[in-house]
Amino acid sequence: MGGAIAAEIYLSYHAPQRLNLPFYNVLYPYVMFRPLESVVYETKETFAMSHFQSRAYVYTNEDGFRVPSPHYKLPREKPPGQLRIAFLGGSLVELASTFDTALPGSLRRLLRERYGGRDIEVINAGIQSCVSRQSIAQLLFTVVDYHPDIVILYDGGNDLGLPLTYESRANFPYNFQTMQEAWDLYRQERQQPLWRLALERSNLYRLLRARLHPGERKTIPTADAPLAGTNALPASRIIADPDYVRSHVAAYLGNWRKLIELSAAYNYQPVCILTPTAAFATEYAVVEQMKSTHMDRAAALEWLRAVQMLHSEASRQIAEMRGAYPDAVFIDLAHFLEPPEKYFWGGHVYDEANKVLAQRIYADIRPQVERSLREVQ
Amino acid sequence: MYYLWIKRQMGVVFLCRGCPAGPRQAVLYNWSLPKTQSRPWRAVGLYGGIVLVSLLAGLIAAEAYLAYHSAARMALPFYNRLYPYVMFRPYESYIYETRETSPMSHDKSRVFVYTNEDGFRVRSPGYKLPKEKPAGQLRIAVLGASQVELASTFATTLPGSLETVLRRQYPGRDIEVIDAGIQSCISRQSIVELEITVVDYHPDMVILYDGGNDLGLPLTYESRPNFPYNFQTMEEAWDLYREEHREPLWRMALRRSYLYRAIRARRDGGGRNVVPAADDPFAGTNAVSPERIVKDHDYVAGHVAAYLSNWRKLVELSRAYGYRPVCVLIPSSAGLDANYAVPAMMKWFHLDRETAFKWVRAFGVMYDEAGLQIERMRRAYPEAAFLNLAHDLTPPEQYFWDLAHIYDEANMIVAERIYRQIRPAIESAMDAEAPR
Repeated sequence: MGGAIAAEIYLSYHAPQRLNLPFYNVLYPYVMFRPLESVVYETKETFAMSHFQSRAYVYTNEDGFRVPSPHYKLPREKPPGQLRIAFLGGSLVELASTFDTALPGSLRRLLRERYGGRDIEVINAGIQSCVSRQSIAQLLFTVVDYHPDIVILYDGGNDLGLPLTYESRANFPYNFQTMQEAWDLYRQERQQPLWRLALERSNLYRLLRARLHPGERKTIPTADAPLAGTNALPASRIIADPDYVRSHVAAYLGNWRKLIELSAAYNYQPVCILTPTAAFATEYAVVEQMKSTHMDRAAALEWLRAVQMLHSEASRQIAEMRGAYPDAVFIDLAHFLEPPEKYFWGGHVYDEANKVLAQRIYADIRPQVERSLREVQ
Repeated sequence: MYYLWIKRQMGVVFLCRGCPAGPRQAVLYNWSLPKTQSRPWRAVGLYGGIVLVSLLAGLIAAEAYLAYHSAARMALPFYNRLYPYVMFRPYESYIYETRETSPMSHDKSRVFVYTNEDGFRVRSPGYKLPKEKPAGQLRIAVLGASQVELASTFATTLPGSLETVLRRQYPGRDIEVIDAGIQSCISRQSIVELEITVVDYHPDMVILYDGGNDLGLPLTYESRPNFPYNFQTMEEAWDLYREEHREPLWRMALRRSYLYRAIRARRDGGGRNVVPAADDPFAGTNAVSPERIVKDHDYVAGHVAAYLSNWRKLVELSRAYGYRPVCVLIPSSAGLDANYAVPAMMKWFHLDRETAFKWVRAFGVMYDEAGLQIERMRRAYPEAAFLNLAHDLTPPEQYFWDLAHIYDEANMIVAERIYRQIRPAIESAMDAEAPR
């Protein structure tokens, strides 16, 4: 008994530290998670995205959309004559120092300058960390209530990166396996007899079990395992398996198809954009990768090759899809922004780069914008 | 030290290898009665020990007695597996055959459940339900909860019964009815299931058969409209997990103790149970009281409007996916017939008579409001069929085996009634699909 207790204490002291999954939102049904509602959040410090020049000002409305100011009025009923564009996506849509420097805000500013005197609203419905299937759920249950004339789905970064980092099941949110684990643990703790719970928590038992079943996976990610998600795939597997790459990308682009299909029900013009990535600038990206994930150079290079493969396959499938959907707009920006000067971290660009992106997007969707402006008048 | 003390006090000698006196042979439990005159504190120790042991035994006896006499504790029922977006759905490619018979067949038949890779209930293991619809096939998908998913066999479920009715009516035609029911789900979940899974099967008609869970949830688990019944539990699980909060075992033991609960209940003077128990009618902390539902018309109107927004979604999505939309408010026994519902509520929810009456009234208010709003919606959506079957199965004891579920053979009656009301839509879909 004494020995078992001593072993328990020793093992718990030496056990690798548990990693926490980053989570910046609140759980929400169907979309799975979304930004907090009616939030006022102003930082005291400045941030990399503004080259450390500006603090961050975040305000959300009752649906979790980022808005220009606290209590900004964004009525669900669209005022007559207003052109309303909704922007869906992950952090690349939601984040920037201010509403105006985020991509939707930058597009709004550009359009208001270009069409002076017209009532133009661009909704920031971005949810950081989300994949495009989540954006579709957000569209169907929340965004369509705002009656947008144009819906822009700006994504790809999370969808294409997730198999390497957290989750290889197509269209599953990055935190879903953690949610399953949390749910199972919670139910277990309420249903299992106490002796079983004591056993499950014992480090000694865990060690013995690992010895007895060497193939069994760890359920709780720990600092000694480089991947936070147990459903992630090694880069080598992705590189060696073009079938997996094809089907993963097809599942991702299934959401572009959904955006177009739903436009028949909700009368908006669909625009799908593949986000810019720094992964093709290998020399820049490999250093970044080594820094952010503590990989050695060889591993980082392999990782980048996998990301490049996924992006190239996406570009290929997007080119193929164009013919099937002549009315939709597809924009492939994967190679649009050359690093390093526009990126500050991963796929995230500086505040001022959003302006460049807004100009580029406007150039491609100008006919749609002008058609909608005519229609709403 | 302890060794020496024991040895001196009780005359017990253990094997001791490292003692200064050298190794000794063990002489165990050489108990002798305390010499009360010479060492009074020894007697105090011993009698104290006896009192402690008796107390412990008393506690265990009380625990056992209370455990035996307490109402059963209700764990949150959960029959599915978590699934993103839909929130949960039936297990995939699953075979489940019971050994015993069940009340839905009047205890005549065992239960046979098989699902395909998307969790749809199918008639046999490995049944082929291709996503691409074969040419000339009329395909109908039925969405809903346990009233759609469950029955003794696929053929006796509502979708299976509807298929039988249609095949009898249109012999020689290829007709497939998909059972996409997910027990415990609400209609918002059905809409997600439709959007991310069912539309891939290209149905010509989609029937949303619901209302029971949507209208009952505010009383039982969850009053936030269109939130799944287990969402608050999921939030709690997620928060605890993220805080790495794992309750210490002693706290868990305490929480499970009946004695502790009894004492706490005395102290709180009737405060609400946080952990749902069968003696507490509310399983969910977000539930609202029946009094509130009866009094607060705005709440009821808002809740029902949120529920029926899913009917609107079904119609809206039909414009994108080209199916014919049919929405059905399911037959109910709760709230419509107090003679049947009150004893049934007392039995299933462990309510007292007075509370059961209040619940029945609250259910009645919800169903009446739903009926009113459905009538108003008809004009706005001429392309859809809206059926209100709430009052269709009377007397309830003839059709219902519990509050919300009907016998196997009653599904056939419902299928025939639905068919009679949507016959034009079925025949126009059939004409569109007719083999050329």
